[in-house]
Amino acid sequence: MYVIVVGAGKVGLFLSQALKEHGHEVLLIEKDPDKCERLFEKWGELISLGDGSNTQTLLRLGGERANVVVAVTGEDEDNLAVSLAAKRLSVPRIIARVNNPKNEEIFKLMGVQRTISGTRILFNMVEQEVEMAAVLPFLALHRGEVEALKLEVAADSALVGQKISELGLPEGAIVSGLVRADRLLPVKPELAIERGDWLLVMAPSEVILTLESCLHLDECFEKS
Amino acid sequence: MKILIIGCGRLGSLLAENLEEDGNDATVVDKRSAAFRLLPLAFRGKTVLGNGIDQDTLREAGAEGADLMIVASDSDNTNIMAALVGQRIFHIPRIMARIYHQSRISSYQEYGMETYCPTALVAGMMRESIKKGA
Repeated sequence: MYVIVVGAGKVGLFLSQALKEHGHEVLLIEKDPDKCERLFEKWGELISLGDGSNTQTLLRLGGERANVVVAVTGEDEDNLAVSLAAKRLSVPRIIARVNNPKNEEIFKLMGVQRTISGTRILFNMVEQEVEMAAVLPFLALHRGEVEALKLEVAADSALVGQKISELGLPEGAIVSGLVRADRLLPVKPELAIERGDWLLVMAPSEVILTLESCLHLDECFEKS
Repeated sequence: MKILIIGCGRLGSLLAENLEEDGNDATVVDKRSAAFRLLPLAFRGKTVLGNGIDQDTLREAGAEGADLMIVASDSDNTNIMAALVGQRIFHIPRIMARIYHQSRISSYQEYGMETYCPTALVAGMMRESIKKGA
């Protein structure tokens, strides 16, 4: 594949090198002459001085035969302009970095479908960590048909005091382990659940939703 | 008319002054507060500190009910992005864009924006003047 990367910052440099190592033809375009000169020693012909947001520049650098154009400068206005220039040349895949997630909307409206926002990814990860603290899906077996979940029993959970045999789990679901004070206990029907326990549950994926109401997981979500 | 001007450089500040004189309601956006010093003391319009490509900044500047947006920052890419946000998100009916690079005129016109490239305009005027004088 011929990949044009626009913007020789940390992201652009890393990406270009990795793509080259994977056997792709790569051209890195940078508009700052000083930066370009500094990088030329190490990168040689891989790097080219130019304004990647200019359609003529992209054309001169073979933009018409590019399979992918990646816009990864630090400025969203430049990444949008690069994407629009690449669109004009009908480049089949255009990937744009969006530094400020607020700007994703205009990229989508202009038909740039593939946007990557580091800020957004970090935000989602942090939010998921916070929201999912009560229940963590940790394993998908048999191509995702069976899922393993772990669940922390909160102090005010309706599960406290219930015996394993009383849980009324849906068909096919089993409590495969219980961790109490960092020790794995054998799961016996008469074992009563205490606050702070971690339940390890395995279930076919089609009953996961039913499982959530049986184990009062919906309440956990509301509280978190 | 409610006019939103992005960029308070020489062009933006002069337009703000002149358009206000003509009885329009002008708001100017710039990301450097020092830029507003170019406006005359008598300027009564609103000044908004912020990036012209940012939706929140544009909303604060009244993009929602603007009749005309003029993008006149010193970067073509900032101008095109601000203009597209004004057109596609705030549905401003008329957009005028100052463009430095002549090669970009046609692509901006594709989006239905009025483009003004100082280099091309001055070159054309000089050329006409030379033709007439010959």
